[in-house]
Amino acid sequence: MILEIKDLHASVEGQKILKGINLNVKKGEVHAIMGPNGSGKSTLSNVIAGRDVFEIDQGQILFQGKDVSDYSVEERACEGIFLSFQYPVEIPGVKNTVFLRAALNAQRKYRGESELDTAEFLRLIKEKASELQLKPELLQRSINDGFSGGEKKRNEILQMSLFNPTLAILDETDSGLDIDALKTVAEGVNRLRSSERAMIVITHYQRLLDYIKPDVVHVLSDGKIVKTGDRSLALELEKRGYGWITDGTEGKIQLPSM
Amino acid sequence: MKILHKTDFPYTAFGGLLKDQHSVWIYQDRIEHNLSDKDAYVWNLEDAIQDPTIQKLIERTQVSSTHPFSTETFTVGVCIVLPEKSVLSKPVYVVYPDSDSTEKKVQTLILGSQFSKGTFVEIFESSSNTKALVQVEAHESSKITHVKMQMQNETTTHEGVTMLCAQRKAVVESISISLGGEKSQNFIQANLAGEYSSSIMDGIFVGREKQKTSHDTKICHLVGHTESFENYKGILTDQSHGVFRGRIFVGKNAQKIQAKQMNRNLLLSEEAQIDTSPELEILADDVKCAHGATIGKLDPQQLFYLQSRGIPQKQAYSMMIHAFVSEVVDKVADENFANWCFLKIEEHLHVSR
Repeated sequence: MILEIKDLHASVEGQKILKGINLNVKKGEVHAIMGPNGSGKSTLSNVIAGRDVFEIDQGQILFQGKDVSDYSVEERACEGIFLSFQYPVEIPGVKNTVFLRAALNAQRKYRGESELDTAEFLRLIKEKASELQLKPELLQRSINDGFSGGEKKRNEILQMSLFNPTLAILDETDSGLDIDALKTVAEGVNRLRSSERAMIVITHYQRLLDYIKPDVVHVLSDGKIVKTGDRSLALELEKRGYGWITDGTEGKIQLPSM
Repeated sequence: MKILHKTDFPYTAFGGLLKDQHSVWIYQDRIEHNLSDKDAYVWNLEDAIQDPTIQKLIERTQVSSTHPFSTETFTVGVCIVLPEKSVLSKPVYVVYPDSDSTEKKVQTLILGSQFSKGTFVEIFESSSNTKALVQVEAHESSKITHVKMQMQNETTTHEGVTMLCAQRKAVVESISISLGGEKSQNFIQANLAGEYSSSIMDGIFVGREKQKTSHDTKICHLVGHTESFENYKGILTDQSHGVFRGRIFVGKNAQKIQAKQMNRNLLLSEEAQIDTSPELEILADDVKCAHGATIGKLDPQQLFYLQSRGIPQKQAYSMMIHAFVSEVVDKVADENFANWCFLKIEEHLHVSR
């Protein structure tokens, strides 16, 4: 088991957001978490990554059998948890390559591996960037500074490919992407699917799941997983909307607006 | 007062920064330097100001102005003259080694002749109270850069006055980095006296514990077609207090000038304080002036992003501080000096790796 979440309750500034999440993710699996806006999808991903604005009130997060609830953000990353941001942060003044090398070496050091020197690192990063059709000059710019929406998301997937995490959480990776960019990003993600890795794909719409096909689909509503199924659940959600699950009433046929 | 040309200096000072660089060492009784006459003349200040040629050079550029040291006399000092068309390939470090006296009082006069170009770096790491006066006179089409790194012992005071004057088509540049001293005050003024001259005035001040640090800056556009750019960055933590005052004066006949001023500040603790005040006095009517000031803290989103990639918190802080000051530090063309500055700033804030 890669991730086991047991009865997880979390809040921000006293407001309860997650109200008892149970989730088991095994090696090699891709789980999709869907749900309407405000259901707690992004909170869940941030809580797994360890963001300190969220308070864990109750429950456990076990990563490869270890309770990581008290681990710092950087320790979780070094253990192998990767979060691809919905809105990748721009950091003017910090060069992308400097950042990526510092991060990779921090993770390698944590795992007792030797650090890469500049030449070794540049060779590796250029190879990874070309796989994702990311312009090499973006590596020399400040982190995400002035990147287009597609470039930012590809920069996230580039990091996933570089850090080789055991668990990758993709938070709304499709938001802000046109169909071509979506395909490139999804191809990048699919290349990284492996029997040794698990992924959680968080999305509002089923569209992304046409390209990244999940093994399990969960529906999150008001801080709880209210329904779990296979891929057909995602298709059904697209046809019927979330209403029929979240409040028990038959929802109107709703096509996702893009 | 003897002037000695030497090549074997104690280059271990400042972590080996001065190795293979030009340097001028001013002691109580002598001056030692390794500059060739072709690059620059090094004079004892007292003798230099008696010299009619030097007097003329000063008079030709100096615009009468008062400053906090107007009534003080300085006895220890140096005058460095760049001859016509002398372009220095390396910065000149001007060093005033500590003496026994409790107070240090030093004056540096830099004269750039026509078409000359040079960078002068002064590092203050004294354990005694210091008063430092710097005058830079840049003649036609010259470019003179003065860099000041103040990292004195934190029980001392530092008072600095830097007066810059630019003639036609000349560029004067002042970069002031202030880390040390219990209390440090800098007054920096640039007079743009010739058409098509410009000034660049940048600085970084970093305060910790109960340090007080202030920069009072003034740019005078005395004639038309002149430009000034000013960019100051403040980082304050603990109970430190920073002051930035940015005055821009545009004279009545100084039409078609451009002035840009920016002061950004990071407050890293609840109790740190910053007072920032842009003050523009514009008498001409065809000018472009822009100014801005910001006060903020490190962005928690950016920190989370860096940490979520495995970067330890302290290193993430240091990367963000580095990013904040790099705009100014990177302007110092000498890479060794820039890296040394980054290190000193990080050490001062206890975020060095």
